[in-house]
Amino acid sequence: MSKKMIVLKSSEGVSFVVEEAVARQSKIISFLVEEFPDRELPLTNMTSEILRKTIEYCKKHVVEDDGGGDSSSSSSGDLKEWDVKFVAEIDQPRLMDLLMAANYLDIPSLLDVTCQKVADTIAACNDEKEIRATFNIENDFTEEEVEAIRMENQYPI
Amino acid sequence: MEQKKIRGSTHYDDNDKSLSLPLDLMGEILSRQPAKLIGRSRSVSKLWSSITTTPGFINSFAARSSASSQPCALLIFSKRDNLFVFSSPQAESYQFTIPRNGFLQRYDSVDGLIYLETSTQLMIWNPTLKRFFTLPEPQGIEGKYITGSLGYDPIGCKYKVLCHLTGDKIGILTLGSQESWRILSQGYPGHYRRMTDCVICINGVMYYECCFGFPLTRAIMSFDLRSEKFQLIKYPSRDGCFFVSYEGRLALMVSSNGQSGIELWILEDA
Repeated sequence: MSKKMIVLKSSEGVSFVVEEAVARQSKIISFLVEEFPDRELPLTNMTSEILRKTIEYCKKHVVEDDGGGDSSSSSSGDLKEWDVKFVAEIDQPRLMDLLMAANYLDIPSLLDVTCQKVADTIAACNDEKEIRATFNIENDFTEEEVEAIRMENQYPI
Repeated sequence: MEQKKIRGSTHYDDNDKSLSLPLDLMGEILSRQPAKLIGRSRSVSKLWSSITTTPGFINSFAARSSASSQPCALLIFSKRDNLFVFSSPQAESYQFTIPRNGFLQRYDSVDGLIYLETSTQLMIWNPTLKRFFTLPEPQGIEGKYITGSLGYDPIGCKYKVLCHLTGDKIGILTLGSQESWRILSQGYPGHYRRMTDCVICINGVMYYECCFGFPLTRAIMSFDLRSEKFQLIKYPSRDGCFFVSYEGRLALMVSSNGQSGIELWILEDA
């Protein structure tokens, strides 16, 4: 039995042919597939690189219900480990794009792991200066405001 | 099936790639940090500071923290004008000097916040964020309050402090709204509330013991935190009763007269 395929198109106009079950992990694609069957779906805000990563994630997480037996390729423990490795290998700017893609495509589990990875990165910074440097955030506080915040936070002994 | 990996054709400019995410996603990410690092996030930038101080953030953060962490026991005691606070199992400890030789007269835990009332100032402690707030003085005059209590309105997601002032006045302060005390002098039955009277907040309604009328009669006052309406509830007063929440209703635990048992009086039409 041949599997139903759908076509996703990246911002550069590159087409990706994906099994429908894989792509349906995105709730928005699931919706689009039902509303507009057999159409190529343009994802104009997603680069090929990010789309490829997203598809890689969805492939790993797909649960096929027609195969029987070895339907899900991985146990949940393995999958968790795979997720951690998956986001660990992505650099900061691309992680942000992947997070935005997960948000746009509405893939809750991918959004969860990417958000957690960013949160862990923030938590791993030694101080607010390192956070600003890591995420390229401008310090827009005045000296007085910094001092006021320091006073507020100093209570715990 | 897949195209070749396209590298280099994308437009990454690392200087341009700041953490510019939609606010809801930023909030989601920041709420995943350990509690002790939230204070630090507030000093990163004004945007981060405002994200982490919205009521919505604080609620979602508290929900996440309480879902993932164990219940926490708090031990509060005072020795002269020193106040000591310990939490377990996190083993946090704090020490304060109560200003102007004051003493601790009431404390209470309401929906994750601790209300600490000393004879000279009112304080709120947020154990999750490890922050203390000293409330402004009602009326701007020292020692003008009798006693107060903290309540939580789960619909409006607001904490309010109700404070009885001398001269049969009542002050209301909404936390986090940067407002000052609103002072009421009418719109409620005249009553007096003692420092040691029982109080409990259940589903957005604060219940406290009080006295009213002449001769003075014991009663319970209910205060709806959302509508800010007061209602007097008469009850068969007994000494040494204790307020508890029983299936979402106010219940009074009283010792049975002349017996060793305990009676539970439940408010039917709450």
